[in-house]
Amino acid sequence: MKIVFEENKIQIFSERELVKEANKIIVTNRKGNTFIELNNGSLVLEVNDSIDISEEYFKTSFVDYKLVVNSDLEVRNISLIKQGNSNVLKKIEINKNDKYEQIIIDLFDNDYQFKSIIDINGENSYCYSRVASMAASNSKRMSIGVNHNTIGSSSKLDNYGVVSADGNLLFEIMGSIKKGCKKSNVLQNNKIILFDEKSTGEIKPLLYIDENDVSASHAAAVGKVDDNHIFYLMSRGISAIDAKKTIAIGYLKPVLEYISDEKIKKEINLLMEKEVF
Amino acid sequence: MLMKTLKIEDLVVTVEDNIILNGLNLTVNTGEIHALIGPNGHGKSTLLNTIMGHYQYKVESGKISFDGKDVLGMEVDERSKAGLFLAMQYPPEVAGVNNGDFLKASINARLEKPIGLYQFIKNMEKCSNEVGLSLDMAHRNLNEGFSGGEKKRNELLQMKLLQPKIALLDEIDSGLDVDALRIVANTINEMKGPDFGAVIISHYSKLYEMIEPTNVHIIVDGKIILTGGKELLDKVNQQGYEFIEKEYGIKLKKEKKKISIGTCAVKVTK
Repeated sequence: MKIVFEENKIQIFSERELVKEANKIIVTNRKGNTFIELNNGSLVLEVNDSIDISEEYFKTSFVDYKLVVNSDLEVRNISLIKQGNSNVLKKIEINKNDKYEQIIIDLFDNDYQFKSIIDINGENSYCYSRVASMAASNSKRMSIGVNHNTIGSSSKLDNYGVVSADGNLLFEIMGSIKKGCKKSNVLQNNKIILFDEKSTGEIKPLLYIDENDVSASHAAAVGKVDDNHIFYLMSRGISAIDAKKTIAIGYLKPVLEYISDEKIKKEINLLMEKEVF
Repeated sequence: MLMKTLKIEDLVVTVEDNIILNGLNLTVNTGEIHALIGPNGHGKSTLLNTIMGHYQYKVESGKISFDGKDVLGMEVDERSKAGLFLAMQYPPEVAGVNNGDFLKASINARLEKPIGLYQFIKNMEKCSNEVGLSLDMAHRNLNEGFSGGEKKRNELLQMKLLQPKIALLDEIDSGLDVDALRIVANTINEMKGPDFGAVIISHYSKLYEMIEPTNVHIIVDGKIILTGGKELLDKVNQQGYEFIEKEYGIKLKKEKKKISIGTCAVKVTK
């Protein structure tokens, strides 16, 4: 199914009609919200406008979703991964002079595989992707890839994760710059903090650079939470579990600065307090 | 309020299989201010950290009780709620944790009902003023970007807000200027009373002059070898620790081994 989204001319579902707890995309522009259901099957969504997109992944399903951005202006995208054992493949094509911002928030206790591949085709386009992820007693695989297919394309990836109990979190972060794509930049920053003995974290920071006139860097760190910090909080009367929770939330919280919608910001703030550990 | 007692009996503590405290005995009652002095590396800081339950110190044998209850069987947060407080020598910077939220959570941990916001802000303002911390410290992250002096003041602020029964102060004055030193002394003097006791480690005679401890102990080789009053402080001020070897025949061994309790490498010398 292909939907071309332009100035809210096409209304797919109103929120009332949507199946409760469906995987859904909410597209917001000056005129209001459009709700699109996203379940089994594939969807191509084309946007030619400056919009905010937020996605919520609820159901256990295979999601194959392609977002085509033909807008000269800023497109902001928030993905909220909720319940359900999702297997999501999300492709994004940036075709014009754009700023595309993707924020992925994952705070629920479920297994999933989330793969987001971004193709930057528009000259001098910029893409920022940030992940805030928590794994507790489940196994999560987060793959983010950015392909720089043109001149002056740049991307910055910030990925932060916390793991407790016997959870496992894998960040597979890939940046590629094709030959001839001069003046392109890729910057990766990856960090996972482990809170318990059995927690595991893995980062694969991959760079495939086939052009000299570019800049590229990646950083990856997986480490245990500082026991001294936990001792400090506990020595003030805060329980061990609350100490870990406070530190983990404090670590993921900076992601809220990238969310401008006050309603979504509030919702995610509450989710963090409720769901993290 | 009845007097409460912190009792330490025959405490043996190791760090990485090295014996630091070697059968230490100490009794602290609320209403008393105890000064712990002695050469570096002989167990003063270890004692305070062990009482609070720091994970790096292993209690091999001995007892610690407070108000009749076994402290060693308590988790670190339970010890805090029982009325013990440790002001740290090197308060850590905890990124992402808001200082104000942290202080409020600490206060609420020992209350039946959470403190009202207005009451909390009032207390914060008053106590921040008294320790010389600006109010916008509440908006910053816990100790993040705080100067050494500010971190120590933050420890004092926490002590004022939590009103512990026994305060353990591990070199609260190190790195402070004369004005800040006065604030430390004032804070402790204002809290003095039958319901408050303190164990203070300091190398500054100036601080002891301002606080006037009731009991003074010298710790050597993990044990208290001498106990006295002000006269002991005066003696150490004038003569240093050398008199211990001469008058009491206790040998002050040179620091033999350096033990790494952090992540930086430390060369072991024999």
